[in-house]
Amino acid sequence: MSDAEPSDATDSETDSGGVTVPDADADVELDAVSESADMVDVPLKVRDLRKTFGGITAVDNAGFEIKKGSMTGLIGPNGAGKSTTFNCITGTYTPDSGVVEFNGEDITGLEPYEVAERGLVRTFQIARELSEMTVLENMMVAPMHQRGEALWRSVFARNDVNKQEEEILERAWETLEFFDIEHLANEYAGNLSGGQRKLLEMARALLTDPDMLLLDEPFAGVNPTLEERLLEHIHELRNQGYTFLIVEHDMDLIMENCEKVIVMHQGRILTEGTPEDVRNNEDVIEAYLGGEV
Amino acid sequence: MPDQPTDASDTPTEAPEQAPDTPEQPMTGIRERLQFARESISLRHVIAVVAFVALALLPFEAEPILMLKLTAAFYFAMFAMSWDVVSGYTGELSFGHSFLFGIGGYGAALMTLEVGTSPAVSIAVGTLAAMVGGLVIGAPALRLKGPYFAIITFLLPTALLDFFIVYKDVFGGELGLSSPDYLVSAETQLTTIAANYYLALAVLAVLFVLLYLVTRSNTGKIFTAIRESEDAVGSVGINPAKFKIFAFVLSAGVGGFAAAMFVHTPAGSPNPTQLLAVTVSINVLLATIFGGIGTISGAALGGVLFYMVRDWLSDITTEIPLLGIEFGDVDLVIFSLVILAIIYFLPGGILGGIERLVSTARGEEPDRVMADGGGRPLERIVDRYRRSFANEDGDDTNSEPRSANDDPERVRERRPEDGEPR
Repeated sequence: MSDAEPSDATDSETDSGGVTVPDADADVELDAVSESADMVDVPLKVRDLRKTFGGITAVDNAGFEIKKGSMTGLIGPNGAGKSTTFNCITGTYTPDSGVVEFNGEDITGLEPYEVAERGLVRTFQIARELSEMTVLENMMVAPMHQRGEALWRSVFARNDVNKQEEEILERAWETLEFFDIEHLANEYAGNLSGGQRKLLEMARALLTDPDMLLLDEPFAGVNPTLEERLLEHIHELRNQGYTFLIVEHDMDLIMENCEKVIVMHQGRILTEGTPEDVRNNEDVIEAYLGGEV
Repeated sequence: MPDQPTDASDTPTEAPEQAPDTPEQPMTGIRERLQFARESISLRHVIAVVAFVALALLPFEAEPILMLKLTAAFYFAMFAMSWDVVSGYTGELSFGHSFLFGIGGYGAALMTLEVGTSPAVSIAVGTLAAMVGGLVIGAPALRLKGPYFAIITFLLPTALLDFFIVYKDVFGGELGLSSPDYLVSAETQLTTIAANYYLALAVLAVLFVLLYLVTRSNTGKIFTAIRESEDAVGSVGINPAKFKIFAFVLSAGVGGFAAAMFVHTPAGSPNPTQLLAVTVSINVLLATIFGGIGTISGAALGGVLFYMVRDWLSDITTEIPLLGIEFGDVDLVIFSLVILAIIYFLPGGILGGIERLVSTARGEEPDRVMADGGGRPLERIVDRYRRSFANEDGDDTNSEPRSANDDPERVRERRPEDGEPR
């Protein structure tokens, strides 16, 4: 991120990119208005997003859209602003300016839990497992609006809570089975390996019934076998209709698995397009390899 | 999958896991019976029941002064439990819980002394005042990330004490107020002391059960989850701030109630030393660590033990060799060293230590002093007792030996058995 400052040279291209995106917005929004929220074709829209930390501009007028049911990769070298963008979308940071729209609703600056409530659910680069709770307990925290979240009901009036909890338990087991970690259900989450934690985290995110999943470096620190499995799961979920935005700096992984790739560099969107387009884009080659081909 | 569940989360996994280490033998001698009881009902419950019965029988033997001290110790244990709900469970460290005790205790005492309400009404008012205080402080402070909550809470009791000193006509300054009427009093002093002793023990038991159920409920699970990772809780659409405030107000209610009761007994009076001083806040924290942080049983045990042991230490007039000072003069120093040793050697506190000792002696993998499985708290506990007396397995999910993990992907070391104190 320290190299964000001396980048005036690329200003002009990004600006032109920034102009085209709102145009596309206008078209899509007309469609969106006529349809209900879950039918929105472009659930996530980010416009002119900007976030500075002191003198460093981490995200500089970034804008992009994610189509429903798509799998999009957000890549870029270290310090490109991927994670900051991600955190601005999910409410961890409040952007200085710009708009984040999800399912036609402006969610800019909402708290993380409010963003999650709206069906935009994230995972973390370093898995945030609840280490002193069992895997099953980790899972059962996730489903939204549980009746047991009310203190009085959860302690004293339990019949309806229990009924709901049994359903949730069933779903939790199914989801654990889907990720092949049901044998760990009663293990403390803190006892899991790094890769298993990533699986657990994705399983937990799924259990919230999300419309869209934002995965922050899901493959970091995961061994190749597990990575393969994780990818299979993601593809399978995507075939079920989930929308994915994946932040990753392993370019090849994204190129092979995503149909659309957004490349960030020094806080700006360098380019976006199919893996083919991006692979042949000279700016991208320059950003990644520093000029060498 | 060997143990597909059909019911509440803790039932299914027991049967297969329990089979190897619970040999089905006819119960003959008392030792076998005890052994069985220990395996069916968690050790913590056995300790709690035995301690409760012992304390209930004590007045038949004890000196009145000991009863008074124990009465104070019981209220102190309630303070510790109230602290544990916030700091032990949600992980938000409060260094100023005496602020809440002060509001509850002084509020109730002033009602009785100045307004002239009956002690019962005053106690209710004091409790409410403490809860309002908790809400007013907690709502903004608990939204802050990082150590700011701890810092804010640290300043509160000092500020309140200064306020009490400035308006000492009303609040009695550093000397405190005179004792209001007792909530229960009898003909003779001895009976009054005994009655207050039993009252304190009963209140301790009721609050213990209440907090035990709360911390084992779904809401309690969220408290624990917040301690483990606030980000994770937020990421699944639960507002961590709401539940932290929840815990804090509950804690304020319990602590304020205990303080309000306390000032209406012969053991306590509304003065800074017993309710409001910084040392009260710190002692509550130390007592909980001493007993076992993050467990209501640990806080209760720690509270009573801490109070009694410190009291015992401060009465020792033997001179420390070479230094030429009495033990009693440096009791806090000695006790602090003991606490340091406990933090280092027994991260789960006394309770964790006992549990570890027992399970090691039984050749099991030690159980961590932490959360039970999900489900309906009261029913689950009652059910466990019922099943254990009906000769079935009835242990917690977490009491089972954790399954050995043979996964080749397993690259990390197993975590230490006892959770780090937070």
